[in-house]
Amino acid sequence: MASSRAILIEYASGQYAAVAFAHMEESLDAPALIHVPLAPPNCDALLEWNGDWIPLFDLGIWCGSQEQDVKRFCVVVSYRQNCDTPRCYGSLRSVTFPRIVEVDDSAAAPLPDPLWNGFAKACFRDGDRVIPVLDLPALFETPCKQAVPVANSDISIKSLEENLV
Amino acid sequence: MAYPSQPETTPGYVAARLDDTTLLINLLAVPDIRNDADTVQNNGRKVLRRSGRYLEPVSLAGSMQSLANGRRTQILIVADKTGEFALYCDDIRVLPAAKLNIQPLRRCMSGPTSLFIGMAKIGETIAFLCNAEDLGTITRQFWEQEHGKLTSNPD
Repeated sequence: MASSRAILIEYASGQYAAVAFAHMEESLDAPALIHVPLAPPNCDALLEWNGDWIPLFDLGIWCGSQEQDVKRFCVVVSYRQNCDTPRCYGSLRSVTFPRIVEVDDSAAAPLPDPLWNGFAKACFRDGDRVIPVLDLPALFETPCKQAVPVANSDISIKSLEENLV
Repeated sequence: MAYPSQPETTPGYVAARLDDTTLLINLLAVPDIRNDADTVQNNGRKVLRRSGRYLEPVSLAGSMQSLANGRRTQILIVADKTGEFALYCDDIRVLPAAKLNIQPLRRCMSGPTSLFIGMAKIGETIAFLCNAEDLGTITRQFWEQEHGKLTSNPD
């Protein structure tokens, strides 16, 4: 059975989401940020990276976590909206330094919460945790008003390997 | 890349600083730039006389929240579909459009209450682009919460 590598991001204390290893560009410890007034609280800062300013997404706030976590780490990720569009960059806040895991299809699991419907491509089990695999274009290219839970969490779980490349 | 909602024919932009936040506004939406020394007192309030009407400058903090005690001296006058409004600023610069590389903010940074739609680097500063209408809505909201109507007729 084929396996793939993923990066685990602790977006709130004890809560994790995953990104395909190939989509991680860099992890930064407490980088300089610029606050964007009146932007949605889950994405109200820009991070300077390689001479560009990229959005910094806080999944903890987006998920409604009440934890007052210190998220000093930022994980820079890249994605393409389509195969013929330029690569885009964004970043995600993390409580801890991101961890690499090996995942195979036997770990596939249903989404833990309907909140992730449309924002996760797949989901897997890591020990006793259920971890969604982020759909980065959906996360970074959806206005905040659309980023709300929907009732139907029926997501088609394709091969994990397919969703982690 | 030009932001789709901005007219590509604009000759330039006005960069107006509020604390550590710099706003970028289409130059075509800015009919005048004035100074606190141009204001007069009307019923205990500082106002500008504009075309036979009084216009009260509004103080906003860099966080785009209301700033009760104004300390700024420059006044940016902006025209939108509702009319004109005036905003106290720390400093105001006019920049040719060709000198700015305005990038749109990613869609995840927009929401029901967001103001900024793009950004540009000006020296070591990041300036945020906004529409005159959206800035006018926020400015009038804060002012009217504290004072009532934004403009009043001198007669």
